[in-house]
Amino acid sequence: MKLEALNITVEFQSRKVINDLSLSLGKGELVGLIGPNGAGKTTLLKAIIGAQKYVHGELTLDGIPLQDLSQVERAKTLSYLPQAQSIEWQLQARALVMLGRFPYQQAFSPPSPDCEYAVDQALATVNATPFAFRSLHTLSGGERALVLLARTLAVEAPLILVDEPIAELDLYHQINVMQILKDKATEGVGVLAVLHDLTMAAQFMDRLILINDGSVFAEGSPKEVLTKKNLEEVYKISPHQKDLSNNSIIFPWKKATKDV
Amino acid sequence: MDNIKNYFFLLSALGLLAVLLFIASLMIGSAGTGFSGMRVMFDQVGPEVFSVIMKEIRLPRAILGFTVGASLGVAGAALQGYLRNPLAEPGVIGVSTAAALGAVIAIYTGLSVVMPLALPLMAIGGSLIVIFLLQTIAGSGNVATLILAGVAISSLCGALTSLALNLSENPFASLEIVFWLLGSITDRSMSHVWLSTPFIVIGWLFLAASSRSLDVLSLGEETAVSLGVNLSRIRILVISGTALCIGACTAIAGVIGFVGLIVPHLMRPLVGHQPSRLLPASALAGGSLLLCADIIVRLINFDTELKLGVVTALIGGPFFLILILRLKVSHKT
Repeated sequence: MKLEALNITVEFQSRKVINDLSLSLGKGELVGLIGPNGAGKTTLLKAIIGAQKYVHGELTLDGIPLQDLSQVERAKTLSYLPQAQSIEWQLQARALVMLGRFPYQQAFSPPSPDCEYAVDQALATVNATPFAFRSLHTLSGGERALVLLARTLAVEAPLILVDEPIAELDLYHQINVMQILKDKATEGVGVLAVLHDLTMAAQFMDRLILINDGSVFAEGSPKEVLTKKNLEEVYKISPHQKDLSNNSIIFPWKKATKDV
Repeated sequence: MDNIKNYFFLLSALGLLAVLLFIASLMIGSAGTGFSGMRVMFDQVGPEVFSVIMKEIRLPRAILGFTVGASLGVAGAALQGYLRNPLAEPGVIGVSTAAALGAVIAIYTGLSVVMPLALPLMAIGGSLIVIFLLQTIAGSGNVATLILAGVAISSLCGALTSLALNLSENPFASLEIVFWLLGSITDRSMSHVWLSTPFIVIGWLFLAASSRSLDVLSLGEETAVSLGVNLSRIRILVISGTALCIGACTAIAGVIGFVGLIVPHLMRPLVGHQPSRLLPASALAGGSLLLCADIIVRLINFDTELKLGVVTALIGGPFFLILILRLKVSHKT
């Protein structure tokens, strides 16, 4: 399964938020989407899942235009985890994960054994089984994030899009979530993750796409993308950077001296 | 799953309660109350009049008590789920006030005197106009647009109702309008049942069809779209379903408040906060609550009969305050 976005342009009140942007996500790939606030990362994900109209461009799955797929087929192929998701009702954790099986369920019938199994698997993958039957509002932020991730995995989609999955988590849970995503990629799932933590991105991602002002600024291995020059130009910061054997530790240190 | 077992147990218990209250409702009335009262009535009036009293007076009242209450409950639950707002109730999209306006116009113009069914028909007409207005104004917009449009329609209809009262030269018509607005299911006939039931049932079906998508909407609109929910389809189902059943209920029973707000609140913890499960539970509980309130109305003897809408508001208001206080406490711990 391969997702391709070709020359996507999204406009908000005739301002181009995404400008002629192209990217691809294949089987087993772990791709990081990075860039400053307002670069268009979230908007791009929304356009891919069909929650944001684009004025120009094409989205295809294995060469088939996404518009030609039914909403259910699309839902089964692309699973999406939004950033800082708020849940209105105090649902039970397992019931929430079961919502990920919506594209597979028949109306007015209880969940099939397949669905029950997929939900249990997803909960086990993120180690959320111990609190599966607790109400969502009794969980800690980290546990909640795991349950929401399990909801995304329960779709069993070949492609997963996650928006800042580690933004509000402590250090253990950050690494935990990144490792889960990496394991999924090893199993053959294509993962596209919006990230702000560049060290995490460098450590876990196969490929990085750096976005600035709605266009791809740089793309390639973490080493190729996370150069001092790119960071200064796009993020407007001077980093402290320590290069390790195959990746690097990046610490944002101060504002870039020259205004670019 | 224990969960599902508990849920079906809850539904069975609520169903049984509704049936018992329905039977109780049939056994209460001015002609004779309870087993002994009904026997005395049977002996006094003879089998023919007895059967007329039961079929033409008590049966429609019991049926309407359940269908109106169930509609208020289920529509409240669906709207709270759709708008993801626990304060939503059928009135919030302006359906009840519009239906009330239609009825008020029928009384004001004297049309209801010439043709009794003109009142419910005009009320249903009012709610159908609201569906049309909401779809054109807020059809492609977001939830906030829908609520704002509903509030605007609601206050406009309220103002026009006041205007009708203001201009009414006939004090009897004014009194009738005011009493009608208070909400009641006294002296309704089987023709009211036949008139309202199709709209109510179609409304229920629309709301039932939206129920699973309401669950997914608790993840937010974008995630719901990513899971294959068709947002405009859900909007049409919820708005039309609410307007059809609440419009028909208001047409028959006037404005009955608080049931649509309270019943979903009461049921939500019992169904694990799941919007889809809340719909049937709220329907049964709403029907039971209104049957119960209507029984209270008949058991308390004032010189003038209490209006159903007054009783539900009198019970509902303080009850809702207690609920909010408890909610506040449970959030603190």
